[in-house]
Amino acid sequence: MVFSGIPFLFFFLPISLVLYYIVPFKAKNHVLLIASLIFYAWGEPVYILLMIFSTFVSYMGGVLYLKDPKRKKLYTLLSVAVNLFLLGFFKYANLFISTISSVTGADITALNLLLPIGISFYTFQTISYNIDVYRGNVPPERNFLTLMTYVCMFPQLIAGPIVRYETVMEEMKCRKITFDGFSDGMIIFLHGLFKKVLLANTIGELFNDITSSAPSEHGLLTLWLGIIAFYFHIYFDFSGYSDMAVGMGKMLGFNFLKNFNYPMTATSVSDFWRRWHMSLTTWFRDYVYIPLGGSRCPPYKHIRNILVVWALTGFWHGASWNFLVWGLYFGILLILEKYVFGNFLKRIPAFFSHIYTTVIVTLGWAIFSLEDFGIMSEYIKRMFVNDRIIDGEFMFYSIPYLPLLFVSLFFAVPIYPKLKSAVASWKKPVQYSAGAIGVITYGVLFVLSVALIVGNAYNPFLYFRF
Amino acid sequence: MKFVKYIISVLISVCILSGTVVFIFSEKKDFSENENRSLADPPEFSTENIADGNFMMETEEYLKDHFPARDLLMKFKTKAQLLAGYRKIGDVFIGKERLYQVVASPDISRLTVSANRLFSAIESSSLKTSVMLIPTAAEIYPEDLPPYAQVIDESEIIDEILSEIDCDIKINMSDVLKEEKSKENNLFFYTDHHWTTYAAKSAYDKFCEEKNFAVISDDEFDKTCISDEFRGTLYSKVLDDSLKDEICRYDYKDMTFSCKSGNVLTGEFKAFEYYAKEYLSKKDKYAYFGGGNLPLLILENENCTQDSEIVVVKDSFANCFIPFLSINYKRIHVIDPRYFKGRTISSYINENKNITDVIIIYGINSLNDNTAVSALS
Repeated sequence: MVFSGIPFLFFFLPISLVLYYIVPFKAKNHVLLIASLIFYAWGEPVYILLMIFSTFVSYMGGVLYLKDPKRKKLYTLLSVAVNLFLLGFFKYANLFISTISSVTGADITALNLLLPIGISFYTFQTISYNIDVYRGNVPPERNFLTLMTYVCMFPQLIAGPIVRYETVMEEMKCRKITFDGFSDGMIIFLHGLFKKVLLANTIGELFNDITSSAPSEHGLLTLWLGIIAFYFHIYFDFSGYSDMAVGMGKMLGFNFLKNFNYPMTATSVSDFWRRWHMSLTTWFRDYVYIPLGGSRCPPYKHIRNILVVWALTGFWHGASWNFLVWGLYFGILLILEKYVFGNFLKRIPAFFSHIYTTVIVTLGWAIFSLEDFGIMSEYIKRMFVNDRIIDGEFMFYSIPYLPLLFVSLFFAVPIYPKLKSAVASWKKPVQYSAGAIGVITYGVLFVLSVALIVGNAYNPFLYFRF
Repeated sequence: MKFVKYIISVLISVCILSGTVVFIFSEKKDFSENENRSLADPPEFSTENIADGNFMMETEEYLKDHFPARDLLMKFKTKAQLLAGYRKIGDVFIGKERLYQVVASPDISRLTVSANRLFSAIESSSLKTSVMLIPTAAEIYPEDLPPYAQVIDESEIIDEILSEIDCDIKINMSDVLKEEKSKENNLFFYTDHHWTTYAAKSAYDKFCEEKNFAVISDDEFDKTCISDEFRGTLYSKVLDDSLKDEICRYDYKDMTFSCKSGNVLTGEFKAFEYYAKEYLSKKDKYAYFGGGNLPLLILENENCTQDSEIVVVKDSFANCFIPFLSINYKRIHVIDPRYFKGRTISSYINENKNITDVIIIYGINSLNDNTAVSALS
């Protein structure tokens, strides 16, 4: 079920929440678990068993060593290995088989496995749990249903953020559910819904339009517009979804960590990755980078660590070789920033470092979004060498898309929060008027979102392939 | 300022819950007049349907299709899009006073191969073959297209296709209609992708010229306006109530005929009213001509002095053109290749020895419809 869809917004969510609030505290976790299982089964009626199995393995990995502390390392390794295998097999087997086929000429029958929804997220959650148990950061969870609830909680199951067990451990046992918390959660949820439906979906159509024909058919500015549209699309899509997850978590009484911190304001690639999909980058930092030695080792090892982590980060995003290239692209840039021009970036005016970051990240999206290497290289080439710079097609797209992009920029930078805190210091009558305008605006935007959902076929979620 | 967020969360919660409640208790329609399509059926609840995910998809479609105030929401959506500056919604370009169908560049060889195959399968050597291709409003009225709208050169494409087909008469309606435009009758509907009866008349005049029939001037025809509240296929995508169309019907003393609709396989016919009045009270008023698209219709004019018979292979464009042919042809066989199943068109032509003409009439967008094109042969 897509969050920004009618079944979820008008049926699953209200009904689950009403039941959740009605039942006594002891039963709330059970309601949440059952609702989450139904939610997941809705998208994966068969592969839900896989998710339950993955959680069970993880659970055993934590609980078994309580009886047998000497084998702690073994149990952890086993459960992590099983989960990695599940992820590797179901996600990457197709790719490896087809690559080997095309490279060696051997005709191996394709498996054509369908990717189980959310597998990249839930396996990473279970793996983080087992490693945290091993490290002593969290005690093993003795109640399988509680662990299951942590893994498959519907707000974050399908598309993150990747929640660590230590974040929700206390709240699983006792959390405050208040109207204030509900309201906070609702506001964050609405922000996410508006980002997804009003900004991401609409801007995404532009990228779709432009890439529906070959790069050779487009002028230079149109091609840049296309990738910039993709950037805005994936940002509002993914951060919108994460907002909805965090908002719903709050409504349930949980406090997930936010996943995005205004990445479009970054002044370097390093800064960008400290703001984008933070739950993923911290996961790789804590479970791969630091165990490998991180930065506390000779430069050649440090560089190796960065390349390994970024190859994996890129590859996590999709079972296709362009994602690996995308990850390494950033890995190399991070190395260059650390060892070559990072300090220079900090000394030049922020305006230039913004431009540098935006151009680098945008070119990265070209590698990310255009999977086929042939089309990708043609597209990128024509972004710099093109017989047409501005043409009729670009002019046609500039309205409505340029204004739309400018308006969305307003929500990609932290102006709105500053505005809100500024309003708090104004005179009461002005505050009330601003408040009334706020209520009306949220209402209108909500109706418009529903209208777009009801009317539009185009409602993709890019990170669904994970 | 806390109360603002409280008010918002209560307001939205109420909106959502009322949506849920209204949906459960509201009456569900089967057909959307505005969008001209059937609305989804309730999902089928069974283990197989759940296991393969179809139950979920059917539920989504059902919920979306029957959502309360759907029509209102759609209108709100398009108004917002127009306000935001969108001039292309779905596959419709929005001009100030006219809607245009967006046409992709068709695969030229498809039609040429199919048409040539059809014509070469015809046994009779005395049979005259014709092809008429019709552009869209974008070609004839480019001045109201939104600025910088990307359109294809339809006239050139039609010329190219016609040059590759081996037939006796070739008509590129672009030139004819561009000339006709000066007479100030509207040639394409503002809200529908079809041409008007005025345009069909000028096509008939051109056909008469090519066949050396007498061209009958417009003044000799009785024109009746059968509806002035027509909002067609393009309207459905845009839902802008400010635009509407007039549909006219031409009548003439020699333009009389009876009609019957045929079953291709059994060869059985039953009487059929060509001018389908029931459509005038529905949304798709253009279907007044020909009652929608049927596989086989035969129109017979007993009073026609000429003994000739013609086969018209067509899409929906020809529907308002066909009645004119009753002036010159005793019998008109109307075939829609998309629904004409069970035998080839050429076998039908060869079987009916009295047929003297075959004409293929297509609007350019049908060339992108593979079924319509490949079914010719």
